[in-house]
Amino acid sequence: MSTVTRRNLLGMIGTVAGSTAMYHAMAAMGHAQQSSYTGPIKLDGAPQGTKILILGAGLAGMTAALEMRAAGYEVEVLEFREKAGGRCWTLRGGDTYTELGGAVQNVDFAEGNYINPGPWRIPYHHHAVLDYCGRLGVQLEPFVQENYQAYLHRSDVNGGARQRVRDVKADYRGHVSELLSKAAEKGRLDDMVTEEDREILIESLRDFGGLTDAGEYKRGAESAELRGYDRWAGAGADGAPIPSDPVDRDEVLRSRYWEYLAANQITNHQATMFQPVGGMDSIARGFEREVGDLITYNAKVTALQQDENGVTVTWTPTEGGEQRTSTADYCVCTIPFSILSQIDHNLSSGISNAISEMPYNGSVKWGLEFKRRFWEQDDRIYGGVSFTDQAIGQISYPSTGYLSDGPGVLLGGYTWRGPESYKFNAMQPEERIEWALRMGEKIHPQYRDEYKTGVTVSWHKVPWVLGCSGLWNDRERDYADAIKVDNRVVCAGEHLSYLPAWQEGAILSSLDAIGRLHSKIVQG
Amino acid sequence: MNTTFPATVLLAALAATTAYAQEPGSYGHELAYSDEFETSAYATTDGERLYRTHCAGCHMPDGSGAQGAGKYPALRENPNLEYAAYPVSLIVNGQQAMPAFGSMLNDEQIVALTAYIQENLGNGYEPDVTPQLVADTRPYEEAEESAEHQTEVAEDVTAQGNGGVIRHPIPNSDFPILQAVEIPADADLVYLSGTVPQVIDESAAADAPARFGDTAAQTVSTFESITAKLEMLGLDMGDVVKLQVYLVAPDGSDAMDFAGFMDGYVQFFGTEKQPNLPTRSVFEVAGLANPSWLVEIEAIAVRE
Repeated sequence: MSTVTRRNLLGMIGTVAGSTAMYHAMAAMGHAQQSSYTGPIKLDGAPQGTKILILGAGLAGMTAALEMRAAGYEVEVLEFREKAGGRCWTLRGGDTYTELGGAVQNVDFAEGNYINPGPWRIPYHHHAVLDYCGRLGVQLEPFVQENYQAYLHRSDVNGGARQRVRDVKADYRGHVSELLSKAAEKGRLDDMVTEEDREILIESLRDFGGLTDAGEYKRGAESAELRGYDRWAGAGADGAPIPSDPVDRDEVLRSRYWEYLAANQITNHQATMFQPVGGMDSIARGFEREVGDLITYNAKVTALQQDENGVTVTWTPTEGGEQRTSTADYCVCTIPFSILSQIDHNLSSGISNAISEMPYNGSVKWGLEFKRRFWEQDDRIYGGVSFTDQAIGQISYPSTGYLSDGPGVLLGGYTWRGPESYKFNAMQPEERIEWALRMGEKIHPQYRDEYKTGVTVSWHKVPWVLGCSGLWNDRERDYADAIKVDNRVVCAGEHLSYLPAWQEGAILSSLDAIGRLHSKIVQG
Repeated sequence: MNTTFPATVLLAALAATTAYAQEPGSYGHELAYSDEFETSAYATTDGERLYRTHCAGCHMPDGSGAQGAGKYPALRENPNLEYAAYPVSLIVNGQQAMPAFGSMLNDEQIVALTAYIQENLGNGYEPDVTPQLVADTRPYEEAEESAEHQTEVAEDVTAQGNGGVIRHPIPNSDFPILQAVEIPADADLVYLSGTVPQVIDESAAADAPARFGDTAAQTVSTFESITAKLEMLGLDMGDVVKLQVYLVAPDGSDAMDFAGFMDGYVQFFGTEKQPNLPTRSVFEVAGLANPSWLVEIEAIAVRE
């Protein structure tokens, strides 16, 4: 073997070192894909006059509409709501939202302020969403997830006193590094590392943990570089910085604040994250500019029937009126299974099982508007997330409009599944907001004085989806049946992906589904 | 200190006051706060409170349900709540878009919650829910047990699959009934009313036993009627999965004629033309609606 190509080098690494090593090697060489998105889909050779009926004008439905019309299909889209986007949704001043049960909220935010009740951030590796933003002219800006200046709060630690993310993160890193460094110094790791590696390890821990030359994590110049100062560096007579005191190791461990640190490190939350300028629904509007002419709004689908000749969908206008039918040769159904399971359909038994075996989880969000951006003016927090063990879970500060005067809107809470979501769901909006204020003021005492107005969305009460995202009772059993092209119908959406509740999941699912449907149509 | 001050009252007061002023020192507010959202709140066994916090969001506080693109069913005045087995199954395992609450609530809580919805929300049923029912409704936790079961089914070479229905014969026996039958979730069950014998001798007097024949003859004519009923439904005897047979002792005999019944039975089940067997029970009863009837049979069939 005289030449080693990249491909057989990878094979050799895989054989010798196992697949994990091969994965790392692939990633290092730029081969491991972060998304199955491979660039704009190319659907060639659509048969003349073939019609596709798309149910749902969320991101999955509009992706299908855009790409299938571009491929030459005749396309019709039915949408339950009065506008496109589905869960890609933004609430602004002047909007009215009526949840199930009848409670009406008139959003009273100041001009330019908004909250995204659904998706609100886009990871750097969600290539499909980012690519469509580029193609549709949706302007993006950075979304701040991790903010060292934000707070961590636990009701049972330090009398509920808030801590800065920076302090906790530095102390956790510092103490763990010191322990490991000492263990290495004492030869306790000798059965795991060579003598040479031991020295490198100790050196790296000093660097990583802010340790002194003696390997200690304690008050001083090294630790202060990471955790900050009692008096920060300035100028003039009192310009010299004064380091701060680390919190004791046992306290850091027992506080369990470290539970929150990982939330900012997972791949879906790593920097750089993005948000569309002006609200998440800029993406919906971008798609709508392209395919809005294909969409019939306010159409409530009541039946989906297929036979050897085509697909017939029965629907009624939501404002009332006679039942209508739409027919097509094929159908892409992006209706959430929470709704589809209640619609009269004749899909085959495998996919029917999957449709009726998908519970939808609950999630609650709040948009709270305050008279001024006290978190910036008083706390010097610019974007990012504070975490709390209270039911609201977290508070996220706006990643836009920094240092501006006038009212600002923050995310006053975000629950994800669990009992808290049910409890909040059972409340009326004003009661939900009251609790968000009560919990939020434990972290920000300014809350009561500065509160102006708020809106809250509990996803189990959202009329057009009845939940936040689909859950699998048994994914291994149902997934293949759920995504297959069932004669003339294929389903798509976030629920049919391995990226549930993410817009990337909706778009990837749609691209995959229409790719397979197109192949079936072309190949007959 | 009134430690039993009901949280409902506090919440109602709270909901009614949007411009709620915080009073940190107030015991009442502290109670409502800790009561509703700290860990201890999940341990309540108050059925009304469990309903209010876990169910009312979707099914609404008065149980009236809600309608959007899909609906949340009304629990109010709902005849399905007369017997606890149905609501307990939904609470424990979920159904369609409704998530399972089995892992969030213990047996006692589910009993309290079920009793509440049976008795209230305009239902007025006498609660029949028990901790045993809840425990029996919970899915098997042990993966091993489940795996063992799967192996058993797979290795049972005599089990007949008929497009999803799995028929388990009685091991080491050729008695022509099944020990068990498994019905897939997507199959429809079809229940036939009790079927009785046909007149086979018009000339016999209205109350004469000969008008309908003996047990064997009555069995045959009854199964012929069942065959006809199934045919009208697009089904046949091969689709029958369960029979309940009621036999009356013939005049002058002190016991039912089981052998006579079997003579008729084997002409319809386990034959070369119709090899499928059902599960079955046979009962001797004191009498049937017509004094000449010796046989009545209920059948359950499955449509796949």
